[in-house]
Amino acid sequence: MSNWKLVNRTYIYDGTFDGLLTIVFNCYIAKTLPQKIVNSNNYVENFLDNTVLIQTDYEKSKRIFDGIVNNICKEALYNSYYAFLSNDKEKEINILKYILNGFDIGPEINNKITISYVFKVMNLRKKALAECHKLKGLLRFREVSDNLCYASIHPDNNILEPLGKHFISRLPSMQFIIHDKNKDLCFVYNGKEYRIINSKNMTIPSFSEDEIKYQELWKLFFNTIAIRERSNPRCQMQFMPKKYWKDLIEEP
Amino acid sequence: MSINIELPSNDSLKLLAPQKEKAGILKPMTYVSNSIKINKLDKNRFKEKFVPAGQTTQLIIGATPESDLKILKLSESLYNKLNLKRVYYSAYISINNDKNLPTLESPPLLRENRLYQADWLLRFYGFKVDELLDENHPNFNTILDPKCDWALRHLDKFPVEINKADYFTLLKIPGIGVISAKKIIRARRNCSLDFEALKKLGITLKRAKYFITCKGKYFEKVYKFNENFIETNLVYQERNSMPNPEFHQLSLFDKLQPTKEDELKCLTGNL
Repeated sequence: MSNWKLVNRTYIYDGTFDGLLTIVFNCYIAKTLPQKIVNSNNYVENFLDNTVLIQTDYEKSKRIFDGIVNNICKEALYNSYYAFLSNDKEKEINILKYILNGFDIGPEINNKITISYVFKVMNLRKKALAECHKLKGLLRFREVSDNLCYASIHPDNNILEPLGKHFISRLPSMQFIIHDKNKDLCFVYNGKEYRIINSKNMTIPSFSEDEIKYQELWKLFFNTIAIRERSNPRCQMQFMPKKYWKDLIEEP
Repeated sequence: MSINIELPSNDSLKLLAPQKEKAGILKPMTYVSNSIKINKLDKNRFKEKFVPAGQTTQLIIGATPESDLKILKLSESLYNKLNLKRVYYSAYISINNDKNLPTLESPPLLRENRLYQADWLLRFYGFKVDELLDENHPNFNTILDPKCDWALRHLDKFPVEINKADYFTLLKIPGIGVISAKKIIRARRNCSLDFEALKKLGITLKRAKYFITCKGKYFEKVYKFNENFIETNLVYQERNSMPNPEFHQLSLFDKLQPTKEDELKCLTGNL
């Protein structure tokens, strides 16, 4: 990969993982590396950029997807997927270089942490997974009707899918909506299958009557089990950062 | 399963929990640990696991006069002989007034923290209690953590060369833990590491920089390898990171009110 030609182009893709894998396929065939890769949703026109719009091709992305599993390793796929979910401006180009170099040297790529893009991909994955893990504990469902729950979150990274899947395996018979208010996306699960939909004009449902009572009970429980002598706000904030507090029911 | 010992010696048990007895606690614990072992060995006979989450216990810190050395000795033997998953330490909070109970203003949280740090050193870092504490130092240092304290008393084992040391030697460097040590071992298979590379790996050098060399070189800004120098620097760092309400930034204006003397000086004109 080191002697591949660097072309002065900016690739624009649709912001999906399949779109990014299509770019990887095109680069691998043409043996070129683009200057930048940007998401079409937040691209601002710039007359110095030599832009190329990349159409997502599921056949190409499938081949790269299988290629990563067979020729590099499963861990590389996880690394690139979770890095892709993170909120970083240059994630795409780093993931591209990581996968392409991975095709050259195989599973050994994950040990080369001193290469800057490998390190960045690893770090982005860590950030996304860490946030996902925190929200698994800090997400608060509110009851809307008998079997439907609603939860709002404000995450930095786009972790709706892994988070939602976690709750599907925990509460398989429940129907729920997880609302990512920062990105205006909703994870909707109806008890059988899930879908991620845009929620720009969604009205937040009103909660059931019991909900308020249970919220009061939860607050009471939270205050009762607290040991005042052992309060340690600094430690508490490491585990539940203040930016997530607005979606909590209790007030720490 | 948790069978709580609560107090770390027989005398203390007699004093504060006369219904408990050392033998009466250790007997069921031994039974549980033996049953777990038998269950693991004979998987064909026992389809279901016995106590799958393992066995734990709890000790109360600060209610009785035991030293850290005695408490840790007990937990070490519990880990070695009874294969406990964990020993929990909880700082004593005074609720009742009894002549046998001490009156503490606040629970000894720092001591609890030090014990947990040492507990981790026992379980994951290959330390032994005799290395950390002895009869002359039965309690932990309040300013430095147990590993730093140990390293300062064993400076002959340092500095450690990052590119050559094995896993357990890396683990003994203050500021380098299990994750960092594994990262270093993983990364140095490909190229030898220098301080820049360590920073890139996300390894904090705050404490480690005094105890390591990379490719034979000492950290640039640390120019001396001697006990006094390292200790003062470490203590200084720790003091800075500790919240200390007694000290605050002085301002030239808000606190300095003119005294009577100042007024007199102004009047007489010899300020």
